[in-house]
Amino acid sequence: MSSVAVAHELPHGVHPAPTSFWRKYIFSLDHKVIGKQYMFYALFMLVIGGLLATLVRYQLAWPGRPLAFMGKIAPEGMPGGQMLPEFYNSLFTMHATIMIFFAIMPILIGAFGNFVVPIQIGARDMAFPTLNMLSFWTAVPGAVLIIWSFFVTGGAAQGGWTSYAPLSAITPRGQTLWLLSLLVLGLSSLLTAVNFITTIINMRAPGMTFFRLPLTVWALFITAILLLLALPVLSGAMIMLLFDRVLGTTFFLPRGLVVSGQPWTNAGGGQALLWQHLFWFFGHPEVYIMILPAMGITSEILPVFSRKPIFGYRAMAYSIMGIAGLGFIVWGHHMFQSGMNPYLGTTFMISTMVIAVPSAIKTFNWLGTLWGGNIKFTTPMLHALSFVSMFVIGGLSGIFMAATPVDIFIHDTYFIVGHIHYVLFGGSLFGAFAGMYFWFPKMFGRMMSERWGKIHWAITFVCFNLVFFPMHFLGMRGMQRRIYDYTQYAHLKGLQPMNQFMTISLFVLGIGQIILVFNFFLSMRRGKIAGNNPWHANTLEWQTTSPPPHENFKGSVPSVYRGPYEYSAPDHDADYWPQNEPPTGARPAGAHAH
Amino acid sequence: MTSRRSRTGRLARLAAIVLAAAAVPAAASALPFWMKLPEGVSTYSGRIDGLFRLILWITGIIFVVVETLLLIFLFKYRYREGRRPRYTHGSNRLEVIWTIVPAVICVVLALLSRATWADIKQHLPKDGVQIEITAEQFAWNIRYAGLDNKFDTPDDVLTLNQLHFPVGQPVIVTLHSKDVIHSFFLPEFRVKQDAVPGFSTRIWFEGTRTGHWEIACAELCGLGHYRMKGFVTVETPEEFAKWLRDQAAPAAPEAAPAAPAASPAASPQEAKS
Repeated sequence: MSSVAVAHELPHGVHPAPTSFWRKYIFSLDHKVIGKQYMFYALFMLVIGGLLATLVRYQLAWPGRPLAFMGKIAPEGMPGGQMLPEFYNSLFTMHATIMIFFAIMPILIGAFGNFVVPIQIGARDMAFPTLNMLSFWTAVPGAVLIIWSFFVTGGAAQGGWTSYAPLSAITPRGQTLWLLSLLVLGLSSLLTAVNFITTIINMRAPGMTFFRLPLTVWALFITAILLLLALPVLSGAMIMLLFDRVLGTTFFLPRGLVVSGQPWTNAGGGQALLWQHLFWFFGHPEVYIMILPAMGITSEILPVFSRKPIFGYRAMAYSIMGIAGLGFIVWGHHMFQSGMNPYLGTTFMISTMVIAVPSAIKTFNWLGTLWGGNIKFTTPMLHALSFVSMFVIGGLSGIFMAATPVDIFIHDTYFIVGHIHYVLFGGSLFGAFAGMYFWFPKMFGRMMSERWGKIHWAITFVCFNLVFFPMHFLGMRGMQRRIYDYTQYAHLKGLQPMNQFMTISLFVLGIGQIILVFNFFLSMRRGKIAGNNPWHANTLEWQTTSPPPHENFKGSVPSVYRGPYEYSAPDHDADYWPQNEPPTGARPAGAHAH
Repeated sequence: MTSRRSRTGRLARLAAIVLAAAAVPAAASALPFWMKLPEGVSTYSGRIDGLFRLILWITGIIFVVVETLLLIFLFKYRYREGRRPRYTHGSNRLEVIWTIVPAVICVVLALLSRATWADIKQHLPKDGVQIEITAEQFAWNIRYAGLDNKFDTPDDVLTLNQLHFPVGQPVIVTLHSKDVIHSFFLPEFRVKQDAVPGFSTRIWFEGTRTGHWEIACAELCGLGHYRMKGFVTVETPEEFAKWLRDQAAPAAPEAAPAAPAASPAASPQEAKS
């Protein structure tokens, strides 16, 4: 009798934990389960995107050499194992699309955002749990559509991930599925964005002021705002392109279009560059959507393993906002050579140069955090440090293409491919790996193997550089991106050995990821029991059990007394000071330790 | 004694700097080909390459400083039992410094780039050899204004994928596209400009030596994108004029009577300037 009464005396706003398998693991409303669902979803797509990249690189290393087993798997794209150029175009289009929209974004925002944000702010769940479930279950058909597109007549989309019109308006049917898939996925991201913003504004625990938020939360908060403002523009553009393809409109199809000697039937009145403006108005904030959460994760991990406060907390928060604001006025730097008025090029060059500043501020603050610390080289720390050192390369190489005259030469070459991979792999993916090793104990209650984690890190770090650094050299030689066979060009003679070296390095990089898969799944079952706070960290997720209970915190939600990075405080015995630990002695409640 | 030692020290340092400065170009020429930009053969390729090298130096120095600091910190402050980390929340002075310094560097780079960009893309020379290029999947249709340097006259020459122009004269290219977006890329001339259907774009360049190069398409334009290649021949003005005449002759035999009238303007640039 009394035990039944206790079960109903749950804290305000908390629903009892579901008991059916279906509601607990599949259509769960629990942000922690949804976060894990996103994690598995993203890891699955990461493997697919990686395999596509391997095929791209195979072709670049040995152009035209048949791959017998692929002739059986993809008889239309690789008859007899010989890759067709249109299939090659599909491969890099789908590699980029899957990595950006189905791997990096879901793992950073869907997985870590969902799992970490509510606990870090001391909430019991997201503001709209049902909407959260719908976000995930809208992302699933998006993935189904994009994979399905490989099997339709003419193959998957082959217009590049940027899908420049008019090419994307006249290519085979796979492009339509590409558009539908990203429209569905865009809806999912919008729901997530609304949910994050509402949750972070309204559901912070008592005492959790904005400037006591962990930087992960700051980063995801601003990311959600970017998503909310940028994504509808892409969705609008994609609907217009869809109409051009299936309903005969001409938003992007100018008058007098002649394709293969035949006048294109529904051409007239449209503007080809309009697509680029709309796409990049979304596309540049998108780059920051993918890097800000990784910056947040890095800012979270460096203080924990340096055992000292983050250097310049407010500067870090403001620079996230600065990047986000400037991110909306730099889109034209993707279009310097597009035929856009060259006077505009100068404007966009200046705004682009300015956006380097907040990134520099962040980098110096990370260095400041390490300075004078007591640094423990755990696996998450190694990945976070890799983020810092690789992001420096990705950031600095961006200055080359920001300078409009230099961009004339390196635009659309492998220099750009090198740059984006240093930002998205060296940056976002190392950030994601850092987060994975860091929060795995909280997610599954067990530690991942440190030894195998370090071996995985070493292989990834070394091979990543061997694959992607030479891309800068290829770009300096003028090697165009998205090119099926470069060997026929005089200016690209002699570059095949380097391409082969990069491809072989990629094979090793790929094989190295098998270690991560095994470490991940074996540690879920057999890892060392983590305990509540294995890293001796301050933020609220470490002040509850691992994994946290259904309602995140037993009893009432925690009260917050200080900022998130009070490590090695002189007036405190332990070298960490959890945000919710009541102050001792004369310190007034809620005082900010400064 | 001390002054002499310091003088020899200064001399040694000076010698080291001179040697280092001399070593840089020597080392640069010893670099493997893939670490160098392709030889530039247009009047502005040197300015673009100069900016590239300037940015390479600036970013290279920042890269070395930042990564060295990172490694020093990682080594110096590696975990030691009982080490007390420095408890600090930051320094406003440092924040200001590392906001202003990168901002100044970036703005200076932008200003340096602005003039070069304007000269290449904004200010077209008044006179030049007129060429019209219409891109299509997957070829370059190249139309020459001919000896009179005017389009839509009988001596116009149309070629497929064959770009000829005289050395030492500005060439003004008007770019169009019939179908999708292409990008007209002459790597050695440091020329790149998209050809967009629906409107035309005018660019210019000037070759500094004769020779043979290639046109590449730099914007994904479909399954034949990779083989959308053209051929560039830069020749002396005389050779170019002869080539134009040879091209025009068989196609338009009725234009022959007009040729004497056009021949005084054999090199239209000189006539105009």
